[in-house]
Amino acid sequence: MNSKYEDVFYRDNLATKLLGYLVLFAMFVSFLLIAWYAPVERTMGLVQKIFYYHVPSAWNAFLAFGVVFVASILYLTSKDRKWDILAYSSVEIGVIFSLIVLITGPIWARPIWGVWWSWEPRLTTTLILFLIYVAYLLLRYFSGESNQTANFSAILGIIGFLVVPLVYTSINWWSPEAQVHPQRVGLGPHMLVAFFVSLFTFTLLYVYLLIRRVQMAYAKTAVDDLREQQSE
Amino acid sequence: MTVPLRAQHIRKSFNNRPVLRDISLEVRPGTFAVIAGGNGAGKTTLLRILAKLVKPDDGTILIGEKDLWAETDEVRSHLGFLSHNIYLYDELNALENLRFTARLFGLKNYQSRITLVLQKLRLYHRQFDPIKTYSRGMQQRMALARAILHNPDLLLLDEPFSGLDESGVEIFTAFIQEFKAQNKSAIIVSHNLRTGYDLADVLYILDDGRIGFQERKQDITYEEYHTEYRRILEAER
Amino acid sequence: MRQIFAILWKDLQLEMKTKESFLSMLTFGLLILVLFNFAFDLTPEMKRLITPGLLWITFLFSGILGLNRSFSLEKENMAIHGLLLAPVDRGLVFFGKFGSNLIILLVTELLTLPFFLLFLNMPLFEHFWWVLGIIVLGTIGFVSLGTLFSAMATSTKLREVMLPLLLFPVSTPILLAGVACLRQILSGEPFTTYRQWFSLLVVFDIIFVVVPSLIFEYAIEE
Repeated sequence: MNSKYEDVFYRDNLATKLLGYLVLFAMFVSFLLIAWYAPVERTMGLVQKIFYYHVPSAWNAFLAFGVVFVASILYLTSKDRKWDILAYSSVEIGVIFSLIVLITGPIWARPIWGVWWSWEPRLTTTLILFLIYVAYLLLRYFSGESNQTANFSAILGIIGFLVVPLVYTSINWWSPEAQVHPQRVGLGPHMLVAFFVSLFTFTLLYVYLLIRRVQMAYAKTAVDDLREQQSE
Repeated sequence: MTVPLRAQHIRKSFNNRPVLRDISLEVRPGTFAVIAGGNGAGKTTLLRILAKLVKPDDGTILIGEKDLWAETDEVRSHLGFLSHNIYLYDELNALENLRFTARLFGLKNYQSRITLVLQKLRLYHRQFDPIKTYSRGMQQRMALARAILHNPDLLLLDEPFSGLDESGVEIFTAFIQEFKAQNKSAIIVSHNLRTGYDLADVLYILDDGRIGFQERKQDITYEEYHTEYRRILEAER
Repeated sequence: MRQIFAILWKDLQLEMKTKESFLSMLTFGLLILVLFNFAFDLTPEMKRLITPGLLWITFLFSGILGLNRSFSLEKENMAIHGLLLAPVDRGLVFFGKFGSNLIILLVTELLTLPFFLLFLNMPLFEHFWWVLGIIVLGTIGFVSLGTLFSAMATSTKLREVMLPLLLFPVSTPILLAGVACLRQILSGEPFTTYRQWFSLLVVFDIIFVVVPSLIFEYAIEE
C-alpha cells in the first residue's frame, strides 16, 4: 500500500513547481492578449471578452469529466486506488470549472441578451454536469473513505459521462428557439490567437491543478498508512 | 466435495484500521474449528471473508485446490453461512423464504428437502406464518435452515447459539453432530467457551487480528483452554 | 435465468403482501395531481399543454418511492446477503430487481392514468397504445438507472435523499423525450413528428439497461 504511491506524481516535485510557474506565466500572457491584443467586439462590446474565460472553462469542465470516466473504468477493472484518487481529484477541479461556466454565462448574457439565464443546450448541459459533479461529491462526503465509496463513485463517473451526450442532444432538440447562445462566432485572426492561447493556458491550468490535488491525496494516504503501521 | 479449507496469510483493514493481520488456518474434512476471541478481534470479519462476502486485502483461500476468489460464483454452493442477521424476509413465511433460497441455489425438486429441513429444525408446524411472527429462537433456527438448505460441505457459523433456548440448542447440536458424521467441516465462532470446547476438534483464539492460540482439543483440557482465553483477554486491555 | 424469476417473484410476493410500495406511490402521485390543480389556476388550454410534463413528473417522483423501498427491504435483516451468498451472477440479480421494480412502477402508472383523465381531461383512450408505449419506454430507462442507484443509495448515510440527487440529473433525457413524444401523440400528430425523440428513448434504454447490468456487482458487493 505504501510504496505504490511513490511513483511519478509524487516524486516529480521539481517538475511540478516548474509547471506551476509556466502556468502563471501563461495566464499572464493570456491576460495581456485578451485585454489588449484582441480587439473589442463590434456588437457586444467589452463584455464579450468573458468568452475567453467562459469557453475554456467549459472545455476544462468536460475534459475533467472525461478523465473521471476513464479513471473510473480503470479503477473498477484494476481495483487500484490510485485511479480512484485521480477520479475524485478531477471531479473536484471539474466542479469548479463548471461553476465558472455557470457564473460567467449569465454575466455575459445579461447585458447582451437581456436575460440572466436561457435554457440553451450547452449551458444547460453544463448545469446538468455540475449537478452530477455535486452528487458525486455528496456521495463521497457522506460515505467516508472505503472501497465501497470508491466503487460507487466510479459507477457514477461512468454513468454520468455516458449520459452527457444524450442530455445535450435532448436539450438541443428541445428548444431550438432558445438559441441565443452564439453557435458560430465570427472570430477575427487576433481573436483566434487570443482564444487559442487562453484555451491552451486553461488546459495547462487544469493539468497543474490535477497534479497538485493528486499529490495532496497521496500525501494524505502516506500519512494514513503511517498511522496504520503505528497501530500494529 | 469434502476437502480441506486452507486459508493463508489473510489480511484485512477497514479505513486504515487493521482488523486481520496475518491469519492462516486449515480445516480438514470432518473436523470442526472453533474460534473464540474478544470483541473486535476480527472473528466475524474472518468468517465473512471465508464466506466470500468480503474480499481480503491479502492472502489466499483454498477450498480443496480451488482458489475461493478466483473461482466463479458456483463455488458458493459449497458454503453455508450463518451470522447475526437472519438474511430472510420478514413478511414472507418459512416456506416462501426457503423456496426462494432453493431457487436461488438452483436446487431441483426442492420441496422434499424444504420439508425435511423444516421438520428437523421443528419449524414445520409454523411454516405458513410470516417470519416476523417468530420468536428470536425460531428465527435463529430459520437462519440455520437457510444456511443448510443447499447441503453445503462447509458451514461457517457466527455465534449460532445466540438467542436459542435450551431446546433450540438441543436441535442445533443434534444437527451439527449429524453434519459432522457426514465428514463435513465447520468453522464456528462462539462466545460460549464450554459449548465451543465440546464441539471443536481444533480450538483457536483470535488476539487483536492474529491467531493467539491454536490447539487440538485432544491435547488440552477445558480448564487450560479457559485459562488461556482469560489470559489473552486480559492482555488485550 | 430461473434465478431472475426467483428474485422477481419474491419481490412481487412481498409487494402483494404488504402493498407498501404500490400504495405509497399511487397516493403520492394523486397528491401531486391534486396539489397542482390547487396551486395553478388552469384553463383547459393550459391543462392540455402541461399534461405530458405533469404526467412524467408524477411518475418520476412517485417512482423514487418505490425504488427506495425495493432496496430498503433487502436491508432489513440484511437479506441482500442472502442474495450475495447464493451462486448467482450479480448481473442476474440486477435483472431480477429491475424486473420487479419495473412491473410495480408500471402497474402504478397504469392505475394513475385514469385520474389524469379525470382531472385534466386528457384524451387518453384515443391514442392509448401509443401513450402506453412511450410510458413503458421511459419507465424502463428510469427504473434501470434507479435500480442501480438505489442499491448504492441505501448503503450511504443519506439513504433515501441520495437517490433523487443521483437519479434526476441523469434522467433528463427521459423526461424531455417522454414529454415531447406524449405532447405530439396527444395532439394527434403522426409518428414522424416525434420519431427522433422515440429513437432517443430507445437508445437511452439500450445503453442504460446494458451498462448498469454490467457494473451492478460493484454497487452491492462490499
